Amino acid sequence: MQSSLSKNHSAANGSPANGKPEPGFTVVGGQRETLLESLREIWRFRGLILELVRRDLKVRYKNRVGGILWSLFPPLMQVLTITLMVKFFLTQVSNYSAYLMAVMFLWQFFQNTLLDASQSLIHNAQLVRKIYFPRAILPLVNFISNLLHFFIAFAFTLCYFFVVPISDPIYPKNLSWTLLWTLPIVCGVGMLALGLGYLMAYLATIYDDVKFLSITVLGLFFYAVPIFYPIERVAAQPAIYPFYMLNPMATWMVGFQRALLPPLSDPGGSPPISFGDVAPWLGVATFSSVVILVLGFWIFERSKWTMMERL
Amino acid sequence: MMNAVSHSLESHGEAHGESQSEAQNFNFGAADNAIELENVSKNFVVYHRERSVKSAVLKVLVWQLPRKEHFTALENISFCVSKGQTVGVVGKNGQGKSTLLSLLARIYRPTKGRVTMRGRIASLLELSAGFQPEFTGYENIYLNGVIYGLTRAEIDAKIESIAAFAGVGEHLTQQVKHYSSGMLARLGFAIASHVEPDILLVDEVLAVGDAEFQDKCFAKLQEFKAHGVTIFVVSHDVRALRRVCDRVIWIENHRIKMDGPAPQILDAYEKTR
Repeated sequence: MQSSLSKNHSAANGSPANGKPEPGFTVVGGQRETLLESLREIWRFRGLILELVRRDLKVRYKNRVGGILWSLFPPLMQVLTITLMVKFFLTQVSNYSAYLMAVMFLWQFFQNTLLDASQSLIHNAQLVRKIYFPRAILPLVNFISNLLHFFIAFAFTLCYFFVVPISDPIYPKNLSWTLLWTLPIVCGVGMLALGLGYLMAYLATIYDDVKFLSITVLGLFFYAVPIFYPIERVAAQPAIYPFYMLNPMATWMVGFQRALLPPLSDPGGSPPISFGDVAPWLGVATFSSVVILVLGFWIFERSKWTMMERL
Repeated sequence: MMNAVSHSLESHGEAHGESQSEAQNFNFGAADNAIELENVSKNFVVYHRERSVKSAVLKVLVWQLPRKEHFTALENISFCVSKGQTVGVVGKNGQGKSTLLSLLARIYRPTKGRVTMRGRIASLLELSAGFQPEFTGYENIYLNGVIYGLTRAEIDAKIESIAAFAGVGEHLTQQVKHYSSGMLARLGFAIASHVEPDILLVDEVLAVGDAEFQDKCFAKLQEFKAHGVTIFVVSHDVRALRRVCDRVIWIENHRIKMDGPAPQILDAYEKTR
């Protein structure tokens, strides 16, 4: 009996002359890899991750420019609809569409990463049942390709700020260094989405209706984050505001919006909120996002073998 | 050096209990073993229930927990395959052959025991598993090559040879969804056979395609053998196994019934049918 329990055969187990460890593996019943080993295995398969991302992007942007524009279309329609609705039925907020668009694409990124990841094992069941690779790379691939797509949408948003409103564009007048904060915030949203995605991917192998449930829940969640109403309205309710901001996605969205745009000039009686006012909450959101990512990944890794049997 | 063929002639005996005591004959840990299975068992849990959150919530409300059943697919399997051997597995449907192959391909983890593989593995389990229907033949060669563990540069070097072996000509620039199943199998086999594996896992794929393509597959398998590749084949086709295998393992009732040189075992197996 060998005492080595390592998954990949190391040099001790007869390596070929070139000094590289011989490929292969040892799997022992009832034993799990540590999280570190899982991460190392994912890194070993980075070539496959790249190729699968390439596949995703190719499918999405089949005819280059048209594909990109087409994929921006649904969130833009949503922006247009909500802007019109607010314009006609609710109180006026200046540059409403800019504030809305800033967070709409971020929300799309979160939602699509989560939904894609939750279905990733099922979509790739053919592959997963036949060929070995670390299963955790599938949600990761969804995350990366959605992130790349988000950056396209983000570039579009920034261009939009330079032209709207035409008489007096928001940018470059309001351009500030806080813009750089958007990058760590996007990372935070990514961690949150990926963690929840791992969790959903795991649940989706147990229950068949996870997809419909998550669409429903995300639809409700849409109202629990400051997308179409300004955060000032929430902050005006001191009893609710702290609990509201405990939701990391709400904090990420406010932070993102206010890193890009100045506080509202006409928040309807409530005091305006700037990026600086949100900053302390970003720490809380970072903490909860990291916890969710680690927890989601751990649950996924813990059951990655049995998940295969249920597919 | 103790070769796997020499000891395995003794067979695991008709009585199942003996296989445990045979275990010390196995040469576990030897560097020239490509495949080692040490007292491997595989159970599956089968849940009898609706797979939905809705029903789960309702069941908790009326306090009715899911009933689960264990199903043993493989029980206490031990064998070693030394490097360069070609091993066939026979047995009726539902006796655990495919589970065995999935264990070797690292799709499942054994419930008990240890599985060790030494070398680069390519599995011809389902040739078109990794195909993206919207992609062209060429794009799929790259995608599948990477799935099999090649790098892009390695595929660049081999692309001509893969295209030639697939023999689907002009169609490589077309989307794979327009391919016939025979063409898919050709392309899949062409890619998998260019992985340059140390261990090749084959599942029933010898039965696809026309006679000409099958001959091509056999020729390729012989070429692999000549290069010292360890081949593990699961098949119902006794004639095909006779053509390629040195050794055959007969699985019945989720255990190894016999293990030895191909002609003897296959003769014995055919007699029971």
